[in-house]
This record gives sequence, structure tokens and C-alpha cells, in this order.
Amino acid sequence: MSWTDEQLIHAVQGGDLDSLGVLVTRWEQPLFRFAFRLLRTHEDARDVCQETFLRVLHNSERFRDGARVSTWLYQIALNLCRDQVRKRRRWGLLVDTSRDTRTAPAGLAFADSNADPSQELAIDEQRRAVGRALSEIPPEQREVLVLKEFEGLKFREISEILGCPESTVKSRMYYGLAGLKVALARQGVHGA
Amino acid sequence: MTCDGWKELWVENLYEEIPPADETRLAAHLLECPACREEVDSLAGIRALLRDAAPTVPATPRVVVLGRSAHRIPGWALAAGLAGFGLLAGLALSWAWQARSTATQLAQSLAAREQPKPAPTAVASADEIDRRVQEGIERYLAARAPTGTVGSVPVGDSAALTRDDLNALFERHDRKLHRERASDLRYVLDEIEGMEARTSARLGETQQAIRYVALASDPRLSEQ
Repeated sequence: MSWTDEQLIHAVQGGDLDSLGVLVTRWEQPLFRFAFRLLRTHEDARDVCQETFLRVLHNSERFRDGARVSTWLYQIALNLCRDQVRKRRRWGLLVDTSRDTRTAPAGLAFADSNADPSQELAIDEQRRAVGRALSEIPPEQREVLVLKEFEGLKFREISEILGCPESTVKSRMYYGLAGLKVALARQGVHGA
Repeated sequence: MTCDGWKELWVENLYEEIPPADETRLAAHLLECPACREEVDSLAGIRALLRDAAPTVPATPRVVVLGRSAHRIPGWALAAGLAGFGLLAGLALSWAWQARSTATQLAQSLAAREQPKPAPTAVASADEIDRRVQEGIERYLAARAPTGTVGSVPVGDSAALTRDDLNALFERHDRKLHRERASDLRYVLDEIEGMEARTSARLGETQQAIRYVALASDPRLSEQ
């Protein structure tokens, strides 16, 4: 029977690095996906992912009994993403998703050999438009959108991660969706 | 224009986290309010677009987490390492200074043994030099022969010494010179052996000190 995340963390607190390896295997993909959706660059997302697990290794004793490991991991990753965004602002870097060469070539990933190429290209263009629109909404709304829509977390979990009330999370969700709608409309993309 | 106070319920309803009682209340309101109905449909359309056209994520890179001892050097270990380096440097400087002092003493000792003779104050001709050497030999022979004769040379006879006598004299001087040179060499060798012994002792002390510092900074000893 596989161990729960909380059991693994207790083992890591006891010095068991193999348990950390299991945690890494379970969470590297969700955390990388989360960081990539917020930062939109492969290298930054990879660094955030790596640093998150390093912090788990060095600060495992700080994990409170009764808390959820998933919440703790997302909190660490989110803080690291915010630090990265602040660094970018300080150095004047712009997040330009259209130049992200490390994104998988969605337009070429045909699920069906009989798929219509023009339809795939249209979907690919829509994906890029959604990516650009996500970059245009405020960071706090983007964080909620990514955690809810792409990571599938509950509002209660998101409020624990962000450290704010659930009503605030839902409000940011609404205004995030509304802002996304406006940004997509500017690009000529409308909801289904 | 939408009605205030329903945004939270719209979002809860959109993501199927609305409590049943609120769901009934919202449904009843939407039947009566076209603006709110339109807003809810708009939000649902955006959500559908996010589902269908979510930005793709590249393949997850492999995460490698290194062990605790390979990642961070504790501050106290760094300080101990620096102190050990300072100790080593101090010992090395002290040893170098001692070696220099010993070498200086040795050089002075050798220099004292080889006191250069005072240079001649006048430049004499070759004949004059030969005459002086001969007189010196005669005085030497006269002083060493109490009965009056040395070998085949009569005392007091200012006639030139025989070749054999001179050769014997020079051989005696050579042997004395050889003995003195051998004595000097033995002295130098003794000094060198002494320096080697002292250097070995200091090296041993330094190695021991380095070993203590390395043990003190070993993280495995700190993980108690």
C-alpha cells in the first residue's frame, strides 16, 4: 500500500531521502506545470520546481502536523514564482509567451492522423491567445485561475495556499475570468 | 446590468462547489434575471475555452535533489575551515622563518671557518715571492729539527730543500686540509640532518592540526 504524502514527509523529517524521492516523483509534474503556467518559461519553471523540493528537504521540520502536503508544496512554489516575477520586474524583463520556444508545439501534436490540419492550427492559435490573455490579467487573479482551472484545487485549498479568505479567492476568480474575456476579445477570440 | 451579491455564487456554481441550498436559490434568480443569466453563460463560455485551449506545458524536466551534506556548508564549519587554514598558514610561515634562520646560522658558521687571509698589501715580483717561500720553509725546518738535521737537510743550511722534503711537506698539508674539509662536510651534513628532523616534526604537527580541523567540519559528526 502506498504511503500518503504526510507519511512521506514524516519519513523525510527522520532523514529518509528515499521518501523524498517518492514525493518528487509524485509532485514534480504538477508543480512544474503550475510554475510554467505562471511564469511561462521552461527554465524558470524548472528552477522553481527544483528549489521547491530543496526547501522541502531542508525545512521538513517546519511542516505542521495536520496540514496538507499539497498545500505546503503549492505555497512554496507560489512564493518562488512570485519572487521570480519580482526579479523580472526589477530587471525590466517582459513575459512574452509568444516567444516561448520551450512550449510544446501544440499545433503539431495531432491526436488523430485524420484530424483536420486547419482545425489544429486554429486550436493552436487559440492556445497562444489564451496564454497571452493570461499574462495580461493581474498576478493575483492569474494565480487563482491557474490553481483552480488547471490544477483543479478546491476553493478552500486555494485560500489556504494564498492565505486569504475563500470569498476573496472566489472574487478574484470572477474578476480573473472577466478580465480574460476582455483580453481574449481584444485578440478576436470569443468564448465557446 | 447584473445584480450585486451573486458573483460568489456564480463562481461556485461554475465549478460545482455550490451548496445545494444556494444552488436552488441561484437557479430561481436566473429564471427571473436575463442579465445575470447572460453573465453566467459568458463565464461558462470562457471556462470552456480554457478547458479546450489551455496553453500547453512542455515535458517536465527530471528533478534531482542532492543530499543535505552536498548542498550547504554550515557557517560554523566554514569558520572552522578558515581557522584551520590560518593555523596551517601560521605554521608554514613559522617553519619557513625557522628554516631561514637556520640557513643563515649555517652560512655564518661556514663563513667563520673559512676566514679569508688578508690580501697582500704589495705586489711582489716572482723572484721575490720564491725567495720569501724558501725563507719560510727554512724557518719551518729549523723549528722542527732540534738535533740539527731533518732528513738529508742540515739545519741552518740555507741550501734549498730537496724535492722529496717539499713533497712530504705538501702531502702533510694536503692531509690536514683534507681532514679539515671532511670535518666541514660532516658539520654541514649534521646541520642538514637536524633541519630535516625539525621539518618532519613540524610537518607531522601540521598534518595533525589539519586532521582535527577536517574532523570538526565533517557534517556527519554534526548530525547527532
